[in-house]
Amino acid sequence: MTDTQNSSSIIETHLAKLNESNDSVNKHKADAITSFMKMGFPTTRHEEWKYTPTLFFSKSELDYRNSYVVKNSEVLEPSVFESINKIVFINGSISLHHSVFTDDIEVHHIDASASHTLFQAHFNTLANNTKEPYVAFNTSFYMQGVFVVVKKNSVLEQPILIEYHDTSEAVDYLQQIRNLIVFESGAHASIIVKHYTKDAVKSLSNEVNELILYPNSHAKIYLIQDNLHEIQNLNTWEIAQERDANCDVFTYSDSGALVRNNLHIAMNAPGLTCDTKAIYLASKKSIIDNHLKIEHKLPHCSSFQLYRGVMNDEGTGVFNGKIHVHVDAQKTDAYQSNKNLLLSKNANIYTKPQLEIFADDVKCSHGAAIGNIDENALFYLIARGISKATAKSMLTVAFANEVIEKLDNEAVKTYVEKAIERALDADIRY
Amino acid sequence: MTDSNQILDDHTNSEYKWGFVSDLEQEFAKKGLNEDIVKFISAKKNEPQWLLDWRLEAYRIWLTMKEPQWHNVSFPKINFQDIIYYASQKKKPNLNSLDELDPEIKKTYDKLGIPIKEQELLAGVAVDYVMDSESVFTTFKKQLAEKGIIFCAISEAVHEYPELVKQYLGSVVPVRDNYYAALNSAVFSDGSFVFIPKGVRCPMELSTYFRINAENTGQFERTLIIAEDDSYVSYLEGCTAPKRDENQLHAAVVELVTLDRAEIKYSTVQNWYPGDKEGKGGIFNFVTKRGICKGVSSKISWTQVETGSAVTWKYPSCILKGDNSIGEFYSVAVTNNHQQADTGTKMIHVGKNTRSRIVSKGISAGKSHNSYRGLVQIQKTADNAYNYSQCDSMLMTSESGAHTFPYIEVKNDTAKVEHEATTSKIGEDMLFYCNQRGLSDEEAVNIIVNGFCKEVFKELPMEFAVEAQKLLQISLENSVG
Repeated sequence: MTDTQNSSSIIETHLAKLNESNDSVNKHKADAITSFMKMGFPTTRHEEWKYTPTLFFSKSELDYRNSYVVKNSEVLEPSVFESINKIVFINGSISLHHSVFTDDIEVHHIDASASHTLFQAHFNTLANNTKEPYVAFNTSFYMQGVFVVVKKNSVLEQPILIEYHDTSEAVDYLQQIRNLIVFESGAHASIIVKHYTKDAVKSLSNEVNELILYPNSHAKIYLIQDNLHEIQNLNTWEIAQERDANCDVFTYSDSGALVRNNLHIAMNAPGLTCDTKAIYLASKKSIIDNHLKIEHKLPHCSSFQLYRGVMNDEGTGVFNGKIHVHVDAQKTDAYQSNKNLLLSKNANIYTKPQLEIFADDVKCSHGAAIGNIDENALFYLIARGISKATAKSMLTVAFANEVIEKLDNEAVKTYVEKAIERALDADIRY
Repeated sequence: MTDSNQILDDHTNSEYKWGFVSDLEQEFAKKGLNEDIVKFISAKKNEPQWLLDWRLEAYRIWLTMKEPQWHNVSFPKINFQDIIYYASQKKKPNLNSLDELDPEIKKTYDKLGIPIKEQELLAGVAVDYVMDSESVFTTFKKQLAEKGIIFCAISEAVHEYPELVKQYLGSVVPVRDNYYAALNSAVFSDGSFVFIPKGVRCPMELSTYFRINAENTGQFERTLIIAEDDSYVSYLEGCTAPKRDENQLHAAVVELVTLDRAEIKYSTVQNWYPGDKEGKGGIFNFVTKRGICKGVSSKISWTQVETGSAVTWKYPSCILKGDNSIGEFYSVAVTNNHQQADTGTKMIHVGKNTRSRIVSKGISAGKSHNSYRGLVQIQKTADNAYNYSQCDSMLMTSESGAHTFPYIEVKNDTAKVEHEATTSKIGEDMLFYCNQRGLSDEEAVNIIVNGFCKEVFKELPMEFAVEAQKLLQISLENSVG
C-alpha cells in the first residue's frame, strides 16, 4: 500500500466517525477534513509554499491519531525563563503534572473545553481552514492542545510559558497541537513559547494557535525557536485584535530542519497598533520561513514590522510579508522592513514584501535589502586589530541588535543575545 | 474634497479620444482556432515548411497548457474559438510614396496624430505601420539598408533572412514559456524584425505603430530584435486602438537579443482602448516581452508607459547572461475607471557583475487596480550582482487599489539587492502648495504626477516623452484634488 492510499483511508474512516456525532467541535473537524481533502498537501507549486518543501508530512508513515502518553516521572530540561505560569507539552502531549499556573489564568485541555462559553464563541473562528492546507489538516486531526483564558483585568508580571519538550520518542508521533488563547478585557500578559529538544530528534509538528484579544487587552508574544536540531515545525498564529487591544509578536528562529511561521493579525477595530519583529538565522541546511499577514480593516491603525535575517552555510531564508489594507482602513500607517545578510556562497534568501492596498489615504512603505557584510565596516574593525572572524561576528550581532534593542522583556533580550552569539559561533570579547 | 470628487466625476466622463473605425476591405480567416487555421495563416504568408511545423508544434503545446491563474486581475473567460486569428487588407498596397497610401488609412493615422510626413522629414523616424496584422508600409528601408540594418516585417524576414529568423525565433521566449506565448507562436500574424550588424549604431529611432482594427480580430504580433557585437538600437512601439464594445485579445511576443557590448533600448507607449467607464469592452493585453543580454557588457533597457487596455498582463524581462551586462526597467502604469494592470519585470542575473535597475510608478484612479509584480533573481553564478528596485504607487481615489508583489531570490552572497516601495495618496499639502500659487487643481495634479513619473519619462526618447506626457495628461485629466 502506498503512503497516499494509507493516509487517505485513515482520513476517510476518521471523517465517517466524525459525521456520526452531533458535537459542534466534531462538525468543525468534519468541515476541515472536507476542505483539506480538496486542497491536499501543498507542493512547491503552491504560491504560499513555493520555497518551502513540506511533502514529508504526507509521506510520513505516522498515524495522525496517535498521541504520546505522558509519564509523570519524565525528567525535563529546566526552563530558561522564570515564571509561575507554565504549560508543558511532552512530545506533543500536554502534561498537567509538569505544568503550574495561578488564579490569573484558566487552563483546560482542549478536549475538555467544549462547554466553556468563550471556547464555544471563539474556537476555530480565526483558523483559515479553506485556504491553509496545514491549518485544515490541524483542525481535522489535532489531538492535543490547551484552551487558556487570561482573566479580566489581570495584569501578569511574569510571562506565561508554553514549553514543548521533545524526547527521543518524539520521532514516533506527529505532533498536531491546537491552542486557543483568550485575553479577556483589560488583561495584560506576555507569552513565551519555547521548544526544548533533548536529543537530535527528527520530529514533525504542526501547531495552530488562535489568540483573541478582547478590548483593552495587551499581549506580548515571544516565540523562541532555538536548538531545534532536526525538527520540522509548522507554526501558525491567528490573532484577532479588538478595540484598544495591543499586540506585539517577536520571533527568534535559529535552527531546525524546517521552520515555517505563519503569523496573521487581523486588526478589527479602529486605532489599533501591532508590532511584529523577528530575527532568523538559517545555518547548516535549515529552511526558515516567515509568512506574515497584517490586515488593516478599519481606519487609523498602524502596524510595524521589523524582520532581520542572517543566512549562513547552506541555510535558506524565506520572508513573505503581506500588508493588506481594506477599503475602510483610511489613515493607515504601515511600515515594513526586511533586511538580510547572506554570509555564505551556498545560502539562499527568498523575500517577498507585499502590499495590497484598497484605501487611498494611507501611508505604506516597505523596504527589503540583501547583501553581505559591509566591506568598509569590516576593514575599519580589522584595521583596529580585530580578527576578521571576530569582526564579522561583531557586525552580524550588531545587525541583529537593531531588533534586539527594541525588545522590552529583559529576560528574552538577554537570552536571545546569547543565543545569537551561540548560533553564530561567535567569540566576542568587547 | 467635494471639489476633487467633482473633478474626478468630470474625468470619468471624458471619453476615449481615439475610438473610431476605419472602413477598409479586409480578408478574414474563419472564426476559431484549429490546426487548419494555423495552416491557413501559414499558407497566407507563404511560409516555409519549418515555420509551419514550428507553429503546429506550438499549437499542440498550447492545447496542453492551462491559462495562468496567479495574476491579480480578473476578467471573463476568453473564448478562444470566438476570435478571428487572421485579418489582412484585401489589396496589398504597393507604394512608392506616402501619397499612394489608401486615403482611409491616411485618415486614420491623421486622426491618431501620427504625422507621417513630418516624422519622415523632420524627426527622421522610420515607421513600420502594422494595420491589423499586415505590414502596410515601411519607410527609410533603403537608408537603413546602406548601413546593413534590417528593419522589416517578420513575415518578410522569414523569406529573406530565414537563417537569422530560424536561429533566434523562440530562443528568448520559448514556445512553452507560457499560455499566451504558446498561442502567439501558433498564430502570430506579423510584427517587426530588426537586425543591427556588428559595430553599427542605428542612426535613427525605429518605430512601429500598432492598430487593432477589424472587429473581433486579435492581434498576435511577434517582434524580434537582434543587436550584434558593439551595436546600438532604440526601438519605439506605440499603440492605440479604435473603440469596441467586446473585449479584444492582444497577445504579443517580443524577443530581444544583445551580443557583446550591444545595447537595445525598447520603449513602449501603450494606449489600447481601456473600456468605457462602466468597465465594458476594452483590450486584453497579454504580452510576453523578454530580452537576453547574451554577450558581455551588453545592455537592455525597457521603458514603458501603460495607460490603456482593460486588462494588462505584461512583464518585460531581462536575462543577464553575459558578464557585466545591464538590465533596466522603467515603467509608468496608469489605470482609471475599471482598468486592471498587473505589470512589472523579471531580472534574472546569471553572469558576473551584472546590474539591474527597476523603477516602477503606478497611478490608480477611478475603480481601477494597479499591481506591480516583479522578480529579481540572483543565481549562484552571478557574483557581485547588483539590483536596485523602487516601486511607488499613487492612489487617486478611495475605490482604487495599488498592490505590490516583489519576489526577490538571492543565491549568491556577494550580491546586493535593494528594494523600496511606497504607497500613498496624492499629497494634499502638495496640492495646497500649488493652489496657493494660483494653479488650478488640474494643473497641480499634472505637475505632481509628472514629477512623480519624471524618472521614467526622462528615459524615453524625445518624441515619445512628449507623447507620453500628453497621454498622461489626458488619462488623468481632472483626476483628483
